[in-house]
Amino acid sequence: MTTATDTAVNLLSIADKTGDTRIMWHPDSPDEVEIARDAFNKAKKKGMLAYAVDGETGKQTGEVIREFDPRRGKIIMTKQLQGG
Amino acid sequence: MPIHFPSHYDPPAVTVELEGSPGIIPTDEIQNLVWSEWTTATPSYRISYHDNVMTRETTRRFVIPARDRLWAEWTAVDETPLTGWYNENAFITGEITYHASEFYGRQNYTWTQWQHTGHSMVQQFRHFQVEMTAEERQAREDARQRQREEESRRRLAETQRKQGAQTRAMELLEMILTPEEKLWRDQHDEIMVRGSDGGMYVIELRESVHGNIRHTDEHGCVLGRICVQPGMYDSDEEGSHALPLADGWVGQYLAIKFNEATMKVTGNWSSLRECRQPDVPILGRGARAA
Repeated sequence: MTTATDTAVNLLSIADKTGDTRIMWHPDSPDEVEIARDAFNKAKKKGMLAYAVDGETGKQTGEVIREFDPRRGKIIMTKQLQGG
Repeated sequence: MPIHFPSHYDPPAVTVELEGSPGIIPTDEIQNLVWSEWTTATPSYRISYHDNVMTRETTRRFVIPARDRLWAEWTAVDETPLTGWYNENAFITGEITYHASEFYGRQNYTWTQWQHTGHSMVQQFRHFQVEMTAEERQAREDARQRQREEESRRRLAETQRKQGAQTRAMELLEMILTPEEKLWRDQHDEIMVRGSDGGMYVIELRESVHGNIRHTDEHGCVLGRICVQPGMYDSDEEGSHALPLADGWVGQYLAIKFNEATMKVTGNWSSLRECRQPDVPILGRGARAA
């Protein structure tokens, strides 16, 4: 889900043993933003990597981010890359 | 307590009395004596015996290496000559030979010496093992059955959790793939991704996240294989857990698409080669990442 409509909410996905934990927030809701930010920061402290993915799946852009940005439509956090 | 040794030869068995006061060692000290014999290098006591065959009592003294005797009695593997020998007519001081296989109740005999209660103790133990009421047996079986059921429940819940986690992670993967990538995935069971630096990679969706990425060129030639993935283990208050495979594929996809340079230097490469078919047509439109 992305910030494309006036009812859109953004998504934070944090990879874990259940698949992932998803937290959604509306950019205009400070409480929801704060909850998402808190979860983001906790995951970063654990050393997780954050990717911000924007746009519809047909035209995706994205990058690695280090700070929580409530305007990003989709933030996906995974564990750090390892060579196998 | 006198120790009875059957004779190796025809003469009747002799009875040996351990020296002590007054010539008989109390039974409750035999255990200590035996242990002392066993653990020390040399015998710690002397045995005097009376030869009942002879018309007159003759007292002889000889030293038995009790440790050897004890071991021979216990194992009774084969005949074990001990120091000393016994002659029906005379006893030569200092040597007597026993054959462990002829000792009555070898291990029981030795154990009896050790325990002082010997057979009765064994019998008591056997009695304890057998005596169980029907209700007690049922209760024991019920407890075992409950344990088996609990283990089955736990195993099923763990498997379901893992399956549920994989399903959920696949949903996330589905959310981030482009329509073209989904189409290729459906046809080939792999995801073809264009990297952030222009490289082309194929994520093989098999039962692993190790060594499942091919680096290809526009012709489809394999230029190498890279083993790189996000960490697949996590731990919490419940212990250590493995993440579902699809989480690994999500991490690989995002790394290729948005962090190719880091992905390339982090991973371990193998099967590196150059394109040998430069004239092969470029891959079709469906294979190109958006």
